[in-house]
Formats: sequence, C-alpha cells, structure tokens
Amino acid sequence: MAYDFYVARQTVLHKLSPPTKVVFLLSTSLLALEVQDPRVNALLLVGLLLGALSLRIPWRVSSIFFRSGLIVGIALSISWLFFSKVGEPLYRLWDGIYIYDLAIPLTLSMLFRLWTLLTSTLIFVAITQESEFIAGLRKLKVPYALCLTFALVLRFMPLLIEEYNQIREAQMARALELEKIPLLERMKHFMAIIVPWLVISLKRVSTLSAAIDSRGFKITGRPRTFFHEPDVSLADWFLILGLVGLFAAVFALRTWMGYFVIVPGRL
Amino acid sequence: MFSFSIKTRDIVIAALCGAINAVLQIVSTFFTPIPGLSVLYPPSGFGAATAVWFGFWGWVGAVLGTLFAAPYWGYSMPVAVLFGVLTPWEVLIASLLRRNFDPTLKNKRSLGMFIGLVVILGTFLDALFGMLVSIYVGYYTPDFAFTVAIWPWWLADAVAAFVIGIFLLRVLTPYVKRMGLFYEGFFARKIERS
Repeated sequence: MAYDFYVARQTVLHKLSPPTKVVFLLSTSLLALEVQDPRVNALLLVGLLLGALSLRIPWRVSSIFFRSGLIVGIALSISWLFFSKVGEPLYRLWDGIYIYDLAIPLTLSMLFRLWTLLTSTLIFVAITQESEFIAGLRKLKVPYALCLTFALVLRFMPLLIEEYNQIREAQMARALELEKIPLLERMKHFMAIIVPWLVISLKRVSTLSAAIDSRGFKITGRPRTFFHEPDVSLADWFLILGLVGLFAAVFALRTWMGYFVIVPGRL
Repeated sequence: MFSFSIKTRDIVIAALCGAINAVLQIVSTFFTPIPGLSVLYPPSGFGAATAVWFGFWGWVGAVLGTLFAAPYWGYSMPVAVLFGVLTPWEVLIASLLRRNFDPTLKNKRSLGMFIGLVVILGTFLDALFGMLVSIYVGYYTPDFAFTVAIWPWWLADAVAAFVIGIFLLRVLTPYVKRMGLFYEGFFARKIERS
C-alpha cells in the first residue's frame, strides 16, 4: 500500500505550469462527462492514453488505476447492458429481460467516459508534485485555508500509511495476519490495528498545530505572499484558454444544438 | 453552536481525519470477498466517530478522504468531489446530533439514537445519494442502482458504522477528551458562555 503517484520525468506535460495542470484535469473530466457519443469519448480516451503512454508511467502506479477501472468497468457494463431500457428491445435474455438497441452504444460511451476520467486523473497525478498541486490551486484563487488542508492531507498520508504498515507488521509478529483469517474474524481483529494507529495519529494534532501557531500562522481574509510563485507562461495561458474554450464549445453544441447526445436529458 | 472562525487546530484535525479516512478507504479493499464489493467500509465507522468528536471538521475529513482515495475506487478526482460532498450523510448526521447523546454511548438512549439515526438512517442516505451520484455521472442505470447496487453499499456502511463506530466511540472518546481534542460546538472546540 503506497500513495506516491508522481513520476519524475522531463516531458512537455511535466513542464506545464501548476494551474494549467489543474485546469487540464478539470476540463478533460468535464468534457468526458458532457459527451455521450461513444465515438467522441473514444477519441478523447485515445488522446489521453497516448499522453499517458508518452509519460512511461511505471506499472506500480498505473496498475492501481487499471485495477479500479477494470472493476468499476465490469459493474458499469452489467448495469448499462442489462438494466438500461432505452430504445427498442433487441435481444431477449430471459423472461422480461432484454438487451435494448441503445444499450450497446451507451455501455461503450459510459465505459470510455469512466476510463477517460481515470486516465486524466492518472496523467495529472503522474505529472504533478504535491507542492505543484497546492500552488496550482492557490493560483486559481482557491481559499488558502483549503489549500493548507489539502497540503496537510498529502503530507499526512505517507506517514499514516507507514505507521499503519508498522503496526500491522507488529501484529503479524504476534501471529495476527488479517489476510489469512476469515472475513468476519478479520473485522474483529482489525480493531487491534486501528486503535493503536488512531491513538498515535491523534497525538500529532497538538504537536502540529502548536508548531504551525509558533510560526505566527493565522487564517485571515488578507491576501498572502509566497516565496515561490508558479510561473505561468504565454503557452500555458493559451493552453488554459484552449481547454476552457473546447469545453465551452462542446457544452454549447450539446445544450443548444443537441450534438454528442444519445439519450437527451441525461448527463 | 454555530460560531465560526477557523483555527489552526481545526485545519490540522480536518486534514488528519481526511488522511486517516483516505488510508482506511484504501484498506477497505482487504474486506472484498468479490472484487469491487466491500463487505465492510471502515471509513464510515471512523467518520461517524470523528464527527461525534470533532463536529463539522470530522465531516470535512470524510469529504477529503473520498477525494484523495479516488484512484483506488475507480473515481476521477472531480467525480470524487461529488461523492465526497453528497454521500457521507452518517457523518453529517452524527456531527449535527452529537450534542443530543452521550459520546461514549453508555446509556440506552444514546446508543439507540446512534444506531437509529447514524447507523441505519445515515448510512441509508449515504447509499441513496451514492446511487444518485452514480446515476448522474453515468456509472449506473437507475434500475441497476436501486435494485442491485444500493444494498451492498448500505450494508457495508451500516456494518462499519455499527461495529467500528460504536467501538471507537466507547474506547477512544475518553482519550480524545483527555487530550483536549473534543469539540463542544459544531465548529468550535470551546463554546463561549456568557
């Protein structure tokens, strides 16, 4: 179990400014959610997959997305193929259960959408360091209290994972191996790990808040200044405008002209 | 009850709850007899307990946890924001009602309130809104969501809120109070009394 997705490379995508990376994630995700047409979603997915391939993301990172995409994809396919009553009945499975003609394009569309959403997140986490993520949010005028909270979560997670693993190993040394015991027993024994882990974690609150307070930190409405400000180049601005413009165009085409839609009135 | 000014400690607590919640969401994959179906969802129990201890900040932690564990559950980050904000009803209900029951759940009334409103109603609303978001973003069709998918979601949340939530509240509430971390108000650690 790990939480370290960043892939250190010197690619064009890595060199984008932090706000551009955040806008990239948001715009590609919203685009995928806006489009129902499987051909357009497939095109978007292929584009993003090529981007992901160019990053040469290690299997350790991409497998997490691959696994979750596969599992949710199976549930999604069952749901859309066998439970969507859209269009005309095409094939009778058994009494009262049919596959409808629009179910197949809708299943493909939703699968491509799911994988597009996951691939855009994969690219984002692979090219963005924690500090860049926070700087990007800050530059996009997200309130500083929220940026600090995000930064602390990202700081805490590896520490907590390490401590969880330590406690789990300590319990394994006492012959408690969660993976090897039946599911119901596993729930009971899970407490032997979670309670000491929580006690250790909660102890951090006082220490860390005192450390932050001792540096004179205060949450105020006044604008803050920073030693490092992310540079946003002209190319970044063009890319941001392009991504926002593309989303606005797709939104307008869908809303007012009915493009990219199979079933009107649904996302 | 609703005085609101953000202190450093509030942010640290929200972040810590968020990080713990996210790690627990990742750990939830250990409780999957079939891939993708978790029979126990520990963040639900932990979220309910932190909501009783820290009020609103426990709820913020639940939202953050969903956001940062998104890749492990097949959600992209923007979609996870929707799940994070709209689904942790058991956490929100626990944070709103916490002043009406004993946080150690030692008496029958407190235990009954917690089981009825947090474990049963809260987790049901969690599953219901989870399905509505899933339908909205196109993961499930309404028929599949309300006949098949809602029940394991509700069961996994309810079992965790019942087993882990009650256990944590009984065992760790005295410790949280002794550490001076317990919140009296919904937002504020200490309520100023005139």
